[in-house]
Parts: sequence; C-alpha cells; structure tokens
Amino acid sequence: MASSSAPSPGSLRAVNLGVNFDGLEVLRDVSLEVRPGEFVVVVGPTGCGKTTLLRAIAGLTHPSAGGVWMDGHRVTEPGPERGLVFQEYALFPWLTVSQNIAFGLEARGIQGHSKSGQVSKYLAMVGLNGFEDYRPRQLSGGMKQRVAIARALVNAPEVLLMDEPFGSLDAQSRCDMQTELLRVWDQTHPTIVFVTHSVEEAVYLADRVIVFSARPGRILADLPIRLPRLRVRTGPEFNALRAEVMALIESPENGSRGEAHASDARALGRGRPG
Amino acid sequence: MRTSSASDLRASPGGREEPDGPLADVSRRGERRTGFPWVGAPGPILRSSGVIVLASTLLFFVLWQLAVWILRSPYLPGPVEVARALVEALTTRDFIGFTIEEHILSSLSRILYGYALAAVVAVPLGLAAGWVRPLETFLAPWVEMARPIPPLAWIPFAIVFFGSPLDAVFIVFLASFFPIYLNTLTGVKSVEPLLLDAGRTLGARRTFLFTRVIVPGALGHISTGLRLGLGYAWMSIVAAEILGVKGGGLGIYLWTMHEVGRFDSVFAGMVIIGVLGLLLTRGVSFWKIRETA
Repeated sequence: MASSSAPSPGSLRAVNLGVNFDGLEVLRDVSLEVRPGEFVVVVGPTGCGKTTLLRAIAGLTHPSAGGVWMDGHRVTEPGPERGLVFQEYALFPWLTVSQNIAFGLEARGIQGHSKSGQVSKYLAMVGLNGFEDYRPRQLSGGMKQRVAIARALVNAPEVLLMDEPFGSLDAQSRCDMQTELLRVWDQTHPTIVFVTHSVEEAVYLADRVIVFSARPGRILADLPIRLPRLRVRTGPEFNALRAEVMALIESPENGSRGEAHASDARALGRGRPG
Repeated sequence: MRTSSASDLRASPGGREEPDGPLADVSRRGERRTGFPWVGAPGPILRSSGVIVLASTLLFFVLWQLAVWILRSPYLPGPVEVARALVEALTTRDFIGFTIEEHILSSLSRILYGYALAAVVAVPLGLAAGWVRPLETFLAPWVEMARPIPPLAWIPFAIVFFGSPLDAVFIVFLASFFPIYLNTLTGVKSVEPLLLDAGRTLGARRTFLFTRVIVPGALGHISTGLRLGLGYAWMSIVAAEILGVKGGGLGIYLWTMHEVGRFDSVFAGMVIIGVLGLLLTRGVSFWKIRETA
C-alpha cells in the first residue's frame, strides 16, 4: 500500500508506528506523511518520544508496530539518504572539522578531488571557512552544530532529521542558527523533520508543526504555518500561532509530563539534559 | 584534562559560548582562574609547586637518614652509601663479571620480547572481543580463570617447561597481557554509542565503523593498557629474575648483591630499576592520545 504512492525523492510516511522499550510504550500509533522538501517540526513535552520518532525514521530504532517508508521503500536500517543531526553534536573528537565533514563521503568510497570539493562547499555553506583544521573540542556549541549539519548535508540527503539540534545553545546563538538553517535549507532543500520542545522555534521554522502528546507519544495536532519567511518573532500572527501550539501542548489530554521525562531517558539508554 | 577544558568553556563570562568560540578558547588558555587556587590546572600553585617538590624530596632524604641512625640496621644503608654504591655499579664490573649495562640490556630484551608479544596478541584480541560480543563471552571464563593467578606463580612451571630465556619472556607476556587486553576491551565498549549511530547514519558499514570509529575511539584506553602493561612487565621481570631465570639481569644483580651482603648495592640496584621503570612508562605515555570533549 505504501509503496503504491508515487515515489518522489524525500517523501516520508510513518504508518501506525509504535515503539516499546522493555514494555514501556514510547510511541503509539503514529501516522505521519511528509512531502518532499517540506520542513516539519515536531513539538511536544520532554520525554514524549520525539527523539524515538526520529530514530525510527533514521532506522536506528526498530518499531514494535507499523513502520516507516521513505519514497515507497520500507526503512530497515540507517542510510546516508537520511541524515541525522544530534543534539549532542556527536562529532568524532579525534577528527578535524574537515575530516568530520568528509566522513560520510569516505564511508561511501568517495575520495580525491570530488571529496575535497564537496567538503569545502559545505564548509563554506555553514560559514566555517578557516576552521578546517580545528578539533571539535576547540569549537563553541554553535560551531559544533554547524559542523554536524555540514557533515550530514555532504551526503546530499533527501531527508534531514534534526533532534533538538539547538537545544543546548544560548538564546542568541539559537536564533542565529535557526536563521542559518533556513538559509541552508533554501540552498539544498532537503525534507526536514526537526524535533524541539521550543514552541517558538517550531513556529519560526516550520511549514507544518506536529504537536505530540506526553508519553506514549501520539499526534495531537498537525498545524500548517503559512507565514512568509523570514518570520518576525514578535508579530501578532506569530504570537497567535505560538499561543495556539502552546495551548495544545498544555491541553488536559496531555497530562503527567514531569514523571515522563526521567523514565523515558532511561528507556532510551542515555540521559539527556533539560 | 577533559573536565578542565569543559569548565573553561562554561566559565566564560555571561555563559555565552557561541560567538567567541576558538579564539576566546585560545586566549583564555593562559589564565584558567577558577577562584579556587587548589582546584584545576596551572594557577598560583604551579609557581610554588617546584618549591613543594623540592621540600618533599629533601624531607624524604632526611627521614631516610634519620631511620638509618635510629634503626642502626646492617641491612639499611644510608643515602650516602647508596650513592657511592650507585657510582660503583655504574662504573665498574660486578664480581660475577657483568657491567650494569649488560644487566640492564638483559632485563630490557626479556621485557621487549614478552611485552611486544603481549601487545601484538592482546590489542587485536581486545578489539575483536569488544566488537564481537560472543567472542568476549567466550573468552571471559579463560580470562577470569587466568587473571587472578599472579604471573610469578607461573615461574616454577615456566623454568622447567620453557627454560631460559623463554621462561622470562613467558612471565612478562602473562604480566602485561591482561592489562592490555582488558583496557582495549574497555576502550571498545566505552566508545560512545552516539558516535556509532552518527557513523551509521552517515552511511558507514561495519568494517568502516570498526576502523574509523571503534579503533580511534578506543585508542585512549589502548594506550593506557599499553602503559600499565609495561609497568607490570617491568615489575614481573625483576621478580622473575630473582626467582630463577638464568643469565644477566637487574633482578640477578639485586639478588647476587643480597647474597654477599652488599645492601648498599642492593639499594643502588633498586634505584636503577626505579629510574628505568619510570623512563619506560614515561616513554609510552608520550603516546597517550589527547582525550577530547
């Protein structure tokens, strides 16, 4: 059924997706369709399974029910056509900025001129010229995340998955990075599924905001954002949309958020701050 | 090292870490003021630590000399006698006909062979066992059975089974194998799962992940294992030489001097062994890979 849809590069479809960890239900019956080139932002309370949704799309987590299809093909394992940007950057600390960006190309056997050309292209795109030979530990959080984004983009992924990528940045760099991301997206135009718990970030970035419930994560609302970019964060329409999304997250349907967090982090096998 | 660089970033004024990244990091490297002079890297303490080290060293010699005067034991020579014996050991042949260089070379060559063999076997095995879990499980009972047996307990068997000089090589091998193997194994297992996830989403297959993520990720632990292994090798060789292997060697020098009652020379031998052991382990630690944040 899913494979009968016309495959255009970068389309995603989750069908009745469910994920359990050791009997803990993290995602329940999530069905979602994302058009090629669309920028979808998933918001929801901490620990609602947003990360798990991304990992399932990436092929890192196996669903307990339902499944994920990309361009009509079922996702069973990770692949370079679905890039993932982690909140914790996950840069290889022993590699330089250039080597980190080149990792995906080398993994796919691309060497020589075409490799170095691609690396400098994406290095420039994320504004890191001059930092080629720095190690991750010498970079600030925002710069690390630029490297991570370039590293994912160098594979020319049709889908870019972003897991709270700006979550550990301070407010100012966070705003800068959001605008930068929109600029980069404009140049390469992958499909983006972006996870955040910041409602403002969601409304600023998204074509569509998907609101998740507390665990087990389900889709509460699917809200198109039709404001022209770049959006003005203080405008009345912006604030109205923000209030609308906020109200959905805080709706009575969406209880017991506090206790959800700790146990979800445990279930994922790694704690995360915030 | 890890914590100091991390706190460096966090401690930046106002808590902003974005726009002042690398340059600020470099410029800040000089100061590192934490507000607690006894905490963390080079602060005011470093300037005075030379004085402390000097005072502590002097106190050691004073206490030693005091112990000699109070105990008045024929087996405890004072610093001056030991220094004299050290000069003698370094400049003359001992009465069994060896120079100290010959003793040192014998000990070092036994260590070299045993240790090199251990490293060549333990590192690949540790990498493989860390990567292929069933192999680790398979090897675990062997390791757990063999590890609690002190390498020196193998000496009686080694002497008759291998004979000189393979007996000493075998003992050194046993002594250095386990720290190298176990640290390599830990290194593989401590590679961040997130880095493996990142590698896989970037298109890396199993072999590529192993050579490009697992091995470099484990290097810090591997070098720790190699350093520890060398330390154990050094300790085992001296004991093995005392207990039985034939030929020259520092352990043999020590034991010979003990048998003729030259305790100043015994202590001089201890000094030589200590200094060489320090140099050896320092020599490996230059290899230590810088851990990263």
